[in-house]
Amino acid sequence: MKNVADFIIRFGQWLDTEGKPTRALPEFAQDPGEVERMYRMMTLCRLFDAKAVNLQRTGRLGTYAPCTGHEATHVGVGAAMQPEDVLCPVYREYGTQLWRGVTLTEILVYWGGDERGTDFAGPRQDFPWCVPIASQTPIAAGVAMAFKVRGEPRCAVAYIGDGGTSEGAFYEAMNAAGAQKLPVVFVVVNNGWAISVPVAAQTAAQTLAQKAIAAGIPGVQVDGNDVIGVRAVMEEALVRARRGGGPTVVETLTYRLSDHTTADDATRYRPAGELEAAWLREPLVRTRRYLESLGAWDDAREQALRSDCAAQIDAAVQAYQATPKDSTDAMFDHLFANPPEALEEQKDTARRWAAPRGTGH
Amino acid sequence: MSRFNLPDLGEGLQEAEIVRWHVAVGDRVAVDQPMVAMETAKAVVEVPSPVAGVVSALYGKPGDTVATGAPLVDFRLDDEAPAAATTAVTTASGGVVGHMPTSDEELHEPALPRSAAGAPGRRRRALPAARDLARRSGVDIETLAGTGRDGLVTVDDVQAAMVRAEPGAQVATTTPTRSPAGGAEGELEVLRSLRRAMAQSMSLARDNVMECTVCDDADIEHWESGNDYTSRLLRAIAAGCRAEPGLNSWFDATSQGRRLFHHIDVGIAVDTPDGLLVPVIRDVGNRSSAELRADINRLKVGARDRSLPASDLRDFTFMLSNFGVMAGRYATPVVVPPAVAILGAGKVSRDVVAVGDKIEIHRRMPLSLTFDHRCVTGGEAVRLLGAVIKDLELRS
Repeated sequence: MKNVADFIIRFGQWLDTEGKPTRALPEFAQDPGEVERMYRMMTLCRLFDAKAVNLQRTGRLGTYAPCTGHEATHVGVGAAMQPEDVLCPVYREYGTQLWRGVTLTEILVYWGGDERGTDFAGPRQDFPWCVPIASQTPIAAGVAMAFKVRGEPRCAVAYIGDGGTSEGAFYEAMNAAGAQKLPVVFVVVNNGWAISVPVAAQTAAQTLAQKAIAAGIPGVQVDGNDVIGVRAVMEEALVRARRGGGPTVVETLTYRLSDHTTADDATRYRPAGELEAAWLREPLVRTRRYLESLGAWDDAREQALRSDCAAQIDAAVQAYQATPKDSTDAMFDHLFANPPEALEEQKDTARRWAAPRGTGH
Repeated sequence: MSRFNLPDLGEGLQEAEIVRWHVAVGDRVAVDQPMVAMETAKAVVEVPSPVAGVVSALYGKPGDTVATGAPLVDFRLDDEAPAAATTAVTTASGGVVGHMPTSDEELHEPALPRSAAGAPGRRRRALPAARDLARRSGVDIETLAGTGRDGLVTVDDVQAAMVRAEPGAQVATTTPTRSPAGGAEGELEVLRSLRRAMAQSMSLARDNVMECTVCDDADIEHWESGNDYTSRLLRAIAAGCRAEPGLNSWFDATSQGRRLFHHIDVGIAVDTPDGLLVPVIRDVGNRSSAELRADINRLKVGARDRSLPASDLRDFTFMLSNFGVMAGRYATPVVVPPAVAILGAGKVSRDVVAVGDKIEIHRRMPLSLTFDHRCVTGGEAVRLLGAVIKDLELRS
């Protein structure tokens, strides 16, 4: 037998856990203003997350999927994308969405059980949150196919989690994208846990990036808590895709520092000590340290940022709470151009029930 | 006044239990300040304050179950005068909390319909099909003892109740369920948390295990000072299990198989005011007596204040009931499946014993070993008991 193909998976890190560069930094990372912009967004995500969980715990928000721990991945991806690109998210990538113009209020409206939250005023072309695991990946390939057919220099970016990479849809999406050389990047956010299933139980593969190999496309790993690294790797993948070089799988190695959702209790299945160890690698501290080393940050600016974020969050919560309820018709609308009779009957029934219940609030 | 009703803390949860309060009446609280730890079917969660103000009432004490939507805390808001507390307007659905836009009643449809009785307390766990059948056939599901996993009411349970309700038999369709806080003599006290879990695991044991108990005594007259009962018993159990590994196992009746374990994880029955709790001491065969003692103390404290994580309360491979602290020499302790054996240690007393041809008075510990005769033979059980006694009779 002779070797007919060899493959290698590379891992990249630009900032270590102390915020010290481990290699030459890209140009954007030498601009303090640009790094500060990313750090501000990461901080906003962290503080918003805590508020959203408290809103759920006090009955003012439905189930919520927190993002704490993922800020570098989410913001790094957002910062690498162009406004005309299309995002196909899962359900916790707020950092990317906020960067692209989704509002805090829209996020709250959605998790408050109101689909109008997915009708983004900002990035009209971006897809809404996608709860059915991996189903957004073939959609992203389809979006990229449209760009290719139209000859537009735009890219699709699909998120997926470590658990999602076991789904058939993910393999189909990668395969189609590879075969057609589509301008799409699949971001595999490997946070260690698919709800309660650890990666070691999820797959025998050494890396998730190597799943790209079977589709004939490049796969690369990056420290997902290093916002500089994530952005650098994503920019490279997007530039190549935009030039017709085809898709990439980017695996970002991070850790879910929260429960899976507010309906989960991770202390019941995560081994003791793992969470504490993961906090030592979290993304905000190293970004702040790096900013400080550039002479662009100090305690006063940190305090000012935190109160600025708190004010933004409070304003968003108030706007969310002031959002009038949608009518009961909403759940029947937009399903059929010509609704069947049975659905119309249900709509009438719902209206009759809604009327008395709607009063007094 | 502002009233905070317990929200749905998960997805379609009907209730939660108070674990501990972090605030007391009269305390000033800030928005988002942790207020109370609540345990739901899925998690222990911290509930923060939705408002800034002073706590004016707490509804319930640790261990109480609160129905979703029922009052949990009253506040006097910072911008309201104390006198306003009595004149504040509350809506029928529970209250006006700051700028909270709606009540939970409107936000959350219950995942399952409420029982006909509409009792606000703990609902019986039941399969949706069983609940529906019960409603259609007029059976009050709250009165049924479930035979499914963890006391789940099944369709069979409901059908059995329907048979009992045939003419001649009688089923209580209107038995009121009352909150445990009631307390009048003879009033029904619905079992909660540990006590309910005990009812379920004992029913499971009764219905599944073929229990057989054998008794004997260990002569501990020659113990050196400094021996303590529980750690000596744990060591003796380890010696017994080494002699007869078949009793340190789980029996799986469905697949007619047993799993033998190398590690010996002993569940110790602890009596608490709320009911029986069984924290587990791991790997007793490979640990020093000092380590065992430290673990026993930790679990005792944790059991008393209910702070033990679920990981300390599951997967024992053998059980110990050290019931003789107060009274009682022998017993028929109950094996909780899938474990197959439990050792009971009774009250140590000074007995008249024959030593050679002489009469002496020795301290003796009565022992009762119950084993599951479906997969353990009598010979194995008595050989284990013999090894336990031999180890217990060592001086140290």
